[in-house]
Amino acid sequence: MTQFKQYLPQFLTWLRNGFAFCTTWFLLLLLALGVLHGAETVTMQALVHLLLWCAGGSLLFCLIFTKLLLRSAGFTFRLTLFLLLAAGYQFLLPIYGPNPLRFLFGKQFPMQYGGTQWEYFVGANFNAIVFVGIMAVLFLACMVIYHFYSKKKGTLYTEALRRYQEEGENAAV
Amino acid sequence: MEIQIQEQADSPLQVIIRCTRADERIRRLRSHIALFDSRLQAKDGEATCFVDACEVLYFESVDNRTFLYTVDAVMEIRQRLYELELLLSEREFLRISKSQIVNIRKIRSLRPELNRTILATMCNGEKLSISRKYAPALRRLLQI
Repeated sequence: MTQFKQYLPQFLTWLRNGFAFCTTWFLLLLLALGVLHGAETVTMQALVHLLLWCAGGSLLFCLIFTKLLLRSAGFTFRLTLFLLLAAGYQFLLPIYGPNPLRFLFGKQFPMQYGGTQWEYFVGANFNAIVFVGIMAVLFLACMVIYHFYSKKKGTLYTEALRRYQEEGENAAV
Repeated sequence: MEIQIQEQADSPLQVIIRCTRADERIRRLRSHIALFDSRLQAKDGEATCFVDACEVLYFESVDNRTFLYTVDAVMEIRQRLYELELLLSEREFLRISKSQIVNIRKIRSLRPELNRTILATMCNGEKLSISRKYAPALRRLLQI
C-alpha cells in the first residue's frame, strides 16, 4: 500500500500530461484532416470519440509504463502489453459507432472485392491489415529507439562502474 | 567502523580487529582480510597452483565443479560458489547468475539489454550476462 501511494503522484501527473498532450495533438490532426478533405464542421461524435480515445490511451499508457501496477517488468513486456491492450481498446471503442480507422482516414478505403481469394481477403480485411501494420511498425520503431537509448544507458553504467573501481583503488592505497 | 593505520618500523604486518563480540559479521571481515594476502588453491590439469583472487576474472560452476577463469587460464578449485560468496569481498566479487561470480574490478564495460539483463564485457573481451535476478544487486552496488 505504501508503494502504491509512493507511485500514485507520478501516475496522476503522467495521466494529466499524457491526456492533455494526446488530446491537443489529435485535435490538431483532426482539424488538419478536416481542412484537407474540405470539411466545414467537426461533429460532436468525432470530438467525443477523440476524447475517449485519448483518455483510454493515456490511462493504459500510464498504468503500464509507471510502477503503480507493474513494479519490475521490462520495457519489451510493457510495450507489447500496451500495444495489445491499446489495439483491443480501439476496436471496442465504440462497437456500435464509427470504425476508428474510418475516423482516422475520413472514409472507407475504396477497395474492390472479388477476383482471387487473396484479393477478397485483403479487400474484406483491409482496415484490419492496415491497423496491424501500423501497430507492427510502431512496435519496431519503439524497439529501435530503445536500442539506441540502451546504448547510451550503457555509457552511464560504464561510467558508474569506473567511478566504483576508482573508489576501490583509492581506498586500497 | 573506524579504520586506523599505524606505521611502526621493523614490525610485521599485523591486523587487529577490536569488537565487543566476534559475531558472524566479524568472522566474515576476518575472512576478507585473510583472503587479501592469501591465494586460492587451484588445479591446472594434474598440477596444483595458487592464484591471487584479484587475478580471477570470474568463477563458474559447471556439473558440480567450480572453475576459475583468469586472462589466460581456466583452473578447477575445491570451493563451491556459495563458499566463495562468503569468502570473497562482496565489494569486489558479485554473483551474476546461478552459476557465476564475477570480479567487478575486471569488468571493462556494462550495457543493459532489452530483456532486463546486463551484458558485462571483461578486460579480455569476454562477455558475461548478468541475469535479471542479480542485476538489481549490481545497480545497488554502483548506485545507479
